[in-house]
Amino acid sequence: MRVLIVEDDPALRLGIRRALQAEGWQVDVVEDGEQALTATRVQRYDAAVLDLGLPRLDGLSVLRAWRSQGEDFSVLVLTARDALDDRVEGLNTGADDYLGKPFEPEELVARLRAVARRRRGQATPLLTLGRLSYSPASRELRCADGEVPLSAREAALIELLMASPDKALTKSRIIASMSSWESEFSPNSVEIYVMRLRRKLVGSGVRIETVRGVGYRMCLDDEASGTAS
Amino acid sequence: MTPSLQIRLLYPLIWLWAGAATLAALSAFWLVGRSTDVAFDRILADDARALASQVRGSEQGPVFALDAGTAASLVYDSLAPSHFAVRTPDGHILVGDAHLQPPENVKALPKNEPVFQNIGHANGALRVVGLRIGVGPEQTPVWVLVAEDTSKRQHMRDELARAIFLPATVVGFVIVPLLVLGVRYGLRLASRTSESVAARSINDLSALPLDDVPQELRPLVIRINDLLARLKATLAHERQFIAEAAHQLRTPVSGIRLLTKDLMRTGQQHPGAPADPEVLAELNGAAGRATHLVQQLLSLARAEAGAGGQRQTVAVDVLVRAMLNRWQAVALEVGKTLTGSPDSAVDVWVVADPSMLQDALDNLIDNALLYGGKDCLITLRKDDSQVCVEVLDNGEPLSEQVLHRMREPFWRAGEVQKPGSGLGISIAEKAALAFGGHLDIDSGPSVGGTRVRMCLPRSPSEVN
Repeated sequence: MRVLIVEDDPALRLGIRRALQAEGWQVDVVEDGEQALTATRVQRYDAAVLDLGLPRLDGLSVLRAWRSQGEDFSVLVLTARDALDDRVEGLNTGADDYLGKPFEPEELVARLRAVARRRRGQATPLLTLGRLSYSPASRELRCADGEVPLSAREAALIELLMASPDKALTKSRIIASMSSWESEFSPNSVEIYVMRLRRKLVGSGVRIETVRGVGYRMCLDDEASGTAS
Repeated sequence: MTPSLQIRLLYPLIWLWAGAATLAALSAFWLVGRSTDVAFDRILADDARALASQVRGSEQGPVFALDAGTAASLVYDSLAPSHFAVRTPDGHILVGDAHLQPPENVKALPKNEPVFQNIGHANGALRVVGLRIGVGPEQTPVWVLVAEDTSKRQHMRDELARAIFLPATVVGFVIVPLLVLGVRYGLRLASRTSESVAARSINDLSALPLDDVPQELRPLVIRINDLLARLKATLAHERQFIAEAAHQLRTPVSGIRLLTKDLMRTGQQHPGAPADPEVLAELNGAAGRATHLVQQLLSLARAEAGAGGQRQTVAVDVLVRAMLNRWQAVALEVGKTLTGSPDSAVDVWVVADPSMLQDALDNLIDNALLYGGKDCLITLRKDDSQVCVEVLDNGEPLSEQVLHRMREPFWRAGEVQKPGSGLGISIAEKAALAFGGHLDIDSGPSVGGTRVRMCLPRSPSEVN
């Protein structure tokens, strides 16, 4: 998951960045509202953490601009104010959730994960396909034989693929989601990680299929689907 | 203790009533007693006249026509024993008691005019009327004397006293409780107002109703309402300030919280590994910002409390010179020039808390270096009554709206992204007001940038 952090306080900015990176997410950071609009113009994000009190262009204006431009990523609004009006206005403008300062990093991560899940139309916290299940919170992949050990990058790729089962994901979409301005994920890396995952998924009843000219798709094995039907 | 309004109303009323009632009763007693005396005297005089009509002239001189028994029946009184005598001035008794003497020194009196006097008697005092008549062709003087015991009059006086004073006393016992009740009734509306105040919750600062308030208390209640309204506004302002202060503190505190947790997490993952210097630097920065904000809040609270500080005479030029030296390093760091002319007004003294004054001026210089133009100039000016410290920077002119809003606590220019609490101008202004001075802010080409001027009254005991 690639997240944009829009926060003007340097300590908070670093704290949020490190908390999200610890989850294996890709994080980009900007300091004010104008930079936030520039960032979303050139890059696709899965979610954004947006502070309301920003220099140059305030958070609500940024949010309004995003939604009017058709940007549909999840937005978690941060604010130091408790006033109900602020919260309501934030949610009405198009925020997915609201977090008051000060907050715990665990809550921030959990809320971000929840808003991202809701945006995908997924009700339960577990992603499942056939006998395979993945928990984004614990980054655990399980199949009939037990847990499948994953690296952080592999987990990020599995989460991305299992979030849209049977749908082809473009390579560029995968690269965007798994890169940040700090570490670019190359097309070659995508192929390497897909290959590693395929090896780990052997016998799980699920496979990663190459859709020529487009990208990759995760689906049930033909035998497995055949057995199932 | 101040007596209650009820007592204050009752005391004069009761004293007034008691005085008037006593005066009226005494007057009535005196008047009725006098009328009774006059009536008794007239009866006595009539008795004397009745006796006098029975005195005849004869060749042997004046004689009394009736016998002693008939004469006694003429002056008979059922209430008190009567005495009488008809006698000549030389002591000849025509009839009656020999011991009744005519009044002395009454020769000048006209004849047939009764003369009254009280005399002592073996059985008490006697009221005596003497009537001098002339009898026969020679008009021989004869005294007709009738006396009666004064106990009758005393008895009548006692009766009158009882008839007048007893009812007055009884009425008094009734009147006082009635007065108390009346005053209480009158004050009931006031009590109701005070009860409605007493029944209020501590948070209810709404205006008191004026409908049932008596005319006399209305101005008081209106003033209390005015006070309540001001109190409410002050409280709202305080609440807003506290909320704003909490809001301002939340951001650095959140940063500190996240970075501390990050250190703990990485410490657990890599025990013994040194902490990430970037995290430590930002943690230090956030703690510094929080500390600065807390210090600014304390400075503002101190300046708002005003009078609480340690006042002494302060040499402003010495203070400004020291500040200029202290701030040079900061100015250099941010690439600005800081110059001053504290010598333009030497030996100027003000009465202030020196640390509070320094705090206020520090904030003005800090603001100018942070938000102002490249050059910052400190000037000291004085006239007969005041001394002004001017902080002038050659930055962009500020709009009227910004000039107005920058006095509000926590306000910071929205388009700039610079550290600061937004309290500097508030602290300086509150301090200036606390020391009896004022703070002016001007901006535009006419002043050559933005000029913040803090003026304080010169110390009256200034060393010349």
